[in-house]
Amino acid sequence: MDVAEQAVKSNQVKDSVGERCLKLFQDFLEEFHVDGEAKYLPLVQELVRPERNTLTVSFADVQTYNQQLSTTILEEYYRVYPFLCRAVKNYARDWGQIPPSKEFYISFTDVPSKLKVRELMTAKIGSLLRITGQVVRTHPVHPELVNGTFLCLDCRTVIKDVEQQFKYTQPTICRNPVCSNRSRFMLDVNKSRFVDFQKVRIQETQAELPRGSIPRSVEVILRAEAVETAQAGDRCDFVGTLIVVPDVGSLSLTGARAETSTRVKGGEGQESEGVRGLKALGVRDLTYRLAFLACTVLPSSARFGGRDVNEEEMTAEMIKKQMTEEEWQTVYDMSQDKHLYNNLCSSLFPTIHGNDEVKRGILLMLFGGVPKITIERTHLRGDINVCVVGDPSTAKSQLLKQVEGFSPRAVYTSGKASTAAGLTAAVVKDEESHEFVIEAGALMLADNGVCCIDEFDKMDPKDQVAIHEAMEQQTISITKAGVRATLNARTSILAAANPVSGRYDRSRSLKQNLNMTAPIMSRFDLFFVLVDECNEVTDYAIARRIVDLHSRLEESVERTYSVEDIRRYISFARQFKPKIGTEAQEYMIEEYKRLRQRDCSGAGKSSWRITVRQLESMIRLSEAMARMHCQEEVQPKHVKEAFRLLNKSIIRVEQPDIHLEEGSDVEDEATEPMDEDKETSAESQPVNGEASPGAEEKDPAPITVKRSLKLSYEEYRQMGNLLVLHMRRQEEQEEGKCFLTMMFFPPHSQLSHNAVKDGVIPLTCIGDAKSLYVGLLCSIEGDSGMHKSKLIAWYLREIENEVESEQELLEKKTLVEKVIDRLIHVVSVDLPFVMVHDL
Amino acid sequence: MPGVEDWIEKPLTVIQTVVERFPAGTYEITKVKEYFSKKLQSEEALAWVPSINSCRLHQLTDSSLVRYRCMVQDMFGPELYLATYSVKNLSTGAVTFRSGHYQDIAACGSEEEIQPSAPENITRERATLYCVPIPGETTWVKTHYASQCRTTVHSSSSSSLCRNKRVRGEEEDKACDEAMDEEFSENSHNRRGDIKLKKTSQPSGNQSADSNNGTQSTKLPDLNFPLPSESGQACLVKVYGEDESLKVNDMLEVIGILSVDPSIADNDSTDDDLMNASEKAAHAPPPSLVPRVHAVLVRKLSHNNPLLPPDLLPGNPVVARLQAGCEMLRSQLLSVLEHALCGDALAAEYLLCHLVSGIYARADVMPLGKLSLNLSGSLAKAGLAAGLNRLITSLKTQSHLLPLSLNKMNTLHLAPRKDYDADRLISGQLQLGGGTHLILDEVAMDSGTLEATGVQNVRALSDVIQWQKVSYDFKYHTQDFSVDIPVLLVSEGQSFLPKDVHVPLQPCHQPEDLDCHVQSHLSQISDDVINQMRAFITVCQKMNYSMDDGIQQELQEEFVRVRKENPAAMSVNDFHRLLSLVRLLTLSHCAGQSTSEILQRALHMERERCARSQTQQPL
Repeated sequence: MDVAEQAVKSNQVKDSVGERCLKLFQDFLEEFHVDGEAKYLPLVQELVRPERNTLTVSFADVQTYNQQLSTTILEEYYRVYPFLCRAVKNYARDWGQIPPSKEFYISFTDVPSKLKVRELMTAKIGSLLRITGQVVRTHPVHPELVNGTFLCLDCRTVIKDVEQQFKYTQPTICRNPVCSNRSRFMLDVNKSRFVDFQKVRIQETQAELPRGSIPRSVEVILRAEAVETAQAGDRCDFVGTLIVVPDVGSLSLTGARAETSTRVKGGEGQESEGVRGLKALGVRDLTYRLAFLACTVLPSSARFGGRDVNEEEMTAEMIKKQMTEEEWQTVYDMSQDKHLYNNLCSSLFPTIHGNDEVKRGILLMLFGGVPKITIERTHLRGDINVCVVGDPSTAKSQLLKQVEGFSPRAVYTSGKASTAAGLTAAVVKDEESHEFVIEAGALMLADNGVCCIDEFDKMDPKDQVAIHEAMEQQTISITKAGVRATLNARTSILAAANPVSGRYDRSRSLKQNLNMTAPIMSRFDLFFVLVDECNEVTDYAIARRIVDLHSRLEESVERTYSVEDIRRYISFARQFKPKIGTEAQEYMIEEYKRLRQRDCSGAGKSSWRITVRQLESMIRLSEAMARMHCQEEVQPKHVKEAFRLLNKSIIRVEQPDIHLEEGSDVEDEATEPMDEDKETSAESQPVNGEASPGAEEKDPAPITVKRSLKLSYEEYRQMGNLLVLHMRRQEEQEEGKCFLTMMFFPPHSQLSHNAVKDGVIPLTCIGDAKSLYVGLLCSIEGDSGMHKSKLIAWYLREIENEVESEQELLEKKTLVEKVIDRLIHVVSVDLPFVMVHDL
Repeated sequence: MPGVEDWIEKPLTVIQTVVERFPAGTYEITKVKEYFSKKLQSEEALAWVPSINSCRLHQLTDSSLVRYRCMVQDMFGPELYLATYSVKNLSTGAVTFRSGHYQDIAACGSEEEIQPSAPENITRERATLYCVPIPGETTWVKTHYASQCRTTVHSSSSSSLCRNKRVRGEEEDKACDEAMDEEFSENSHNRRGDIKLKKTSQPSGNQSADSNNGTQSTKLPDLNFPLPSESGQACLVKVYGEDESLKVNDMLEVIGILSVDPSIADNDSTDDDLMNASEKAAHAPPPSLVPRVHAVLVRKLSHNNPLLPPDLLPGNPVVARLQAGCEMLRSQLLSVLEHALCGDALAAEYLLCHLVSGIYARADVMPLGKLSLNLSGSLAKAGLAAGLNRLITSLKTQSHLLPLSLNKMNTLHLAPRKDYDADRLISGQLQLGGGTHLILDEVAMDSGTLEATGVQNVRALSDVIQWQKVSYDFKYHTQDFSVDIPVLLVSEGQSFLPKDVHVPLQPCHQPEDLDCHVQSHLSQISDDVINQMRAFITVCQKMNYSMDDGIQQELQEEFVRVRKENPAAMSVNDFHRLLSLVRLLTLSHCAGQSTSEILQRALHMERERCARSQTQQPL
């Protein structure tokens, strides 16, 4: 018998690399210490328990311990894998009572190199890889033969420990030197060892899918403790290696199947690897398949609540690690970009004209605030919800579609076509198994993403209520048919709604314009109103834009950053959890107080009751701002922008009649960069004072006394446009066409007029044009009062025939003076509603 | 040097010699491509290559060069193959190397043995595409292509028949052949139906479940044609070195090597666990049903018009000739359309614009160049949809009529969806190649409730009309695929689906049956004229278009002017439509530059149309 054993041994070629790895890895397990304690000792000792057999090792640890070892494992994972397992076995045997026949396995986490499913090529075979995929199909768990014990049917010799790798391998020859049996063996099932084995199929994730291609899929083979960890629908990370599936038939060989497979011609031994059964005609199929042999499965995010590796726990460092050098450089460059805010906006929505505030709001929504948990374990959401209300054909749907196309986890749904069940979740009876299963709704599908709901107002009010919870608590509860579940729906909502009467009625409040309940409304952080309004200037710009779109496509879709870059940047920036600095805190408190006060004093004018919710929104928006700049602390400037957006979106959504007396009051709101503005306002103060008694400013209801000084928004705008157009014509005469061209083509040109400071200029055609007017008007006032009086005179001449008495003429004069003043000083505040009209 | 016949009938031998000349290992694919593209430069040479589309499968020889006009229906995972393998002669012990490119089966004599683990073996990857004949391809296109083909069924077909006979051990094949022999012209849909009747007595339990393709279910694998009434040959096309350029729904012309060796089926029949039955049916169907084609040359079709050369360059004599007589052709075509629409000239103009429409670019999510048309009126009841379908099928290369009955909407799956059991994409009627006209007949609709599937289908249709994309259902998520499907809606009143242009018809007379009316009119036109019209439409569609600054200025001013007068008169969408209309009108004149007159004409058309809609509204 000894001779026989000798023969077997000499048959095996020693793998020196493997042997060295075994030794080094065993050393690693013994010697790797964290805080003075052997990190893997307790883990290995746990493996003594009969149901355990897999040791999970962080690859980063191996890397720090021995670079060479880690490189070898990375590059020749498949070759050294059995040796690593043996190292675990040896180490475990040193530390505990282990049944000698027990097999151990190793699984690695924190593997650096990550590949796309599409990148799995033949060149990668055998090396240690990590891939992400969506599990689409799982097969039942089978036992797989790992170590066979055979009985020679000729001489009854027992042949032990015949290693099986993916295929049923019989001994090449009977151990007994006198017996020359090469093919007649019987597997002794009781004495052979098996391991759990499962196949799952994963599919390329949406994020990795190139446009217009069908998602690729790949079979993943799971073994030992990794089985049953992945379920259909989960998105998982798999660590392992790519292998060529040799004889597909015997891959999942069970003991019973082995018997039938013996018809595979004996004697082929090693050679038969990789080939399907030999055909009598002497022809063979020349194709193979690839499969992924995984040792570790980590859910990257689960479909429903439950098991959930929190994406939030990812650090910026980890994201950075996943990026290539080049990618990191772009992200870094972006974070250093001074005009990041505007560049991101314009790159995100290159085909949508104007609407800058909406774009900014949506951008901040993509960055999101920081979710928090209070001491009472209440979750405070970090997601920002945005609602866009507007006239038909104001590019609302396009905005939504764009976000859907951009964001990796976004779901687009229409309020008209989906019920609450379709949006939240439904309990359905499975047709085959008759079991109740929870079917995910749009909100859940967009977990950690954006849920775009078009025609939100068309949704049944009942259904609107159903998403209440989702919006504030970020969960969805289901109690139906004996199923009770709370599911995560941490999603931002981007809703679009049409006004009740089809068109936005400016004389009514936002609430009256919208078919939405107050509680729902209050859950939106930002509201934007898009009004399809006629204005020669904007119309020109819009027409220009659309014509460009249709004719010169390459130029018109211009992006500073590619979609990929932005996507990467956002996912990177989202890892920051900015804290609110003390300065910012104080600023925030101040602003909030002011909002509150005005809310109280402005009785009814502002449709919005400023509540704590708005404060929360402000915090979220500020955090999003800070995140966008990749900063750890929220600074006052972030709060300022957040406050500005909030101000635009909430308070100024509707334009009540213009109170010219309000001038100074509004000026306070004017954001600080308008330093110039403040100075000029001081100048204009006396004018204001003359026209209206001092008391006026304290009295918030000047309706009866100063009727003439109040004009409807519509009138005000007409007047303003008239003046502006006149001036433009004048300007044209003086400077030729150059001004006009400047007006229409200055998307990013820096028109540094002294009255217009950086940051206030909305960097779109229209915005610039507007600010230019502001500048212009200011210059009129500043340079020479004559211009102003000229302008007034011109205006009065224009309306001469409409005026009947001298009294009226005087009134008009005061009025036009006021309008001009207001145009000069307040226009920056009014810009939001001007902006909102574009498109 | 191999003769003409050689590279058509024995391309593998040719390839072998080419490959042998370049043993380096990496360039052989390029060299083979170069060789064949040189051989096939002339139309003449191409015509000698038999086409799978117009021949019966058993008329073609295994491993001969074939042509195949198709659409990519599904993309399977890549496949590894042995590019070079060593063969050992068992009796002499001599080792030789052979090339495994462009074939499924390794050549290996009875005395030889393949050495799969020889270090000299080279493995390569190739992509597998599941292709179907272009869905909705109209009859005239098929016959034209067939008539262009020089090859008649030549003598070698008898030998191929012999080869096939050997396979007949398998029942399926026999049945298949029998059915084929019975009546070839009958479409394969029925054919499969026949077989099913013969083969399966089992009650159609799962038949109702597979509502997509009613009858083709149980025994034989469903060939997964997007349109249920389609016939033809589906193929598994194996592509070498084309990277990622080929996408699903691309229309291709493949020139490749046919592989119908029955031993493929034999090999696959070894029961293995990695594939279950349905998967195997999808990925490794018997080659007699779904032959393999190893693509040597793959060309994306920008159009599918046999009357025109593949590339429509402006200097092309065919194009130039058409352009010269374009005004005449246009008026002829317009009169045909007008006649079909019972004398409604305005609708005819819009219909012409619609016929030459097609997506030329996308501005992010917004498709440009489409003009979905809704024709409504009492004519709809008189078979307008059928008549228009007849008209369009005789003018355009692909079209499909879809009656929107409530029942259909509730049962069909218009958008394709993934079947993870078989690991394939189950096709739907919206999986159409670029430029396939979709005619939706709303007259078939009746009142009732739209169920969940119905709502999904309606949404899918409006997505196609509005955004020109179809969301494929991947069960765990959906994936949008861009399409280029001009949609024509036929309804009594205004359609409930979105549309770009709604034209209420004002016919001069009311024929009993519009279909007959159109048919009789079409039969009066000579083949030559109608062929010219067909070519004309395609050429117009593919024209390069630009606007000069003058027109751009004019357009902008028009927009501002109209809005100044009445803000509601022109929304941004109206302006988009106007721009599209101007473009299409220009194209319909076979011109590349829009002019002021055309703009005025477009404005006039829009005004007239709006006036019509307004008067019709109260009704």
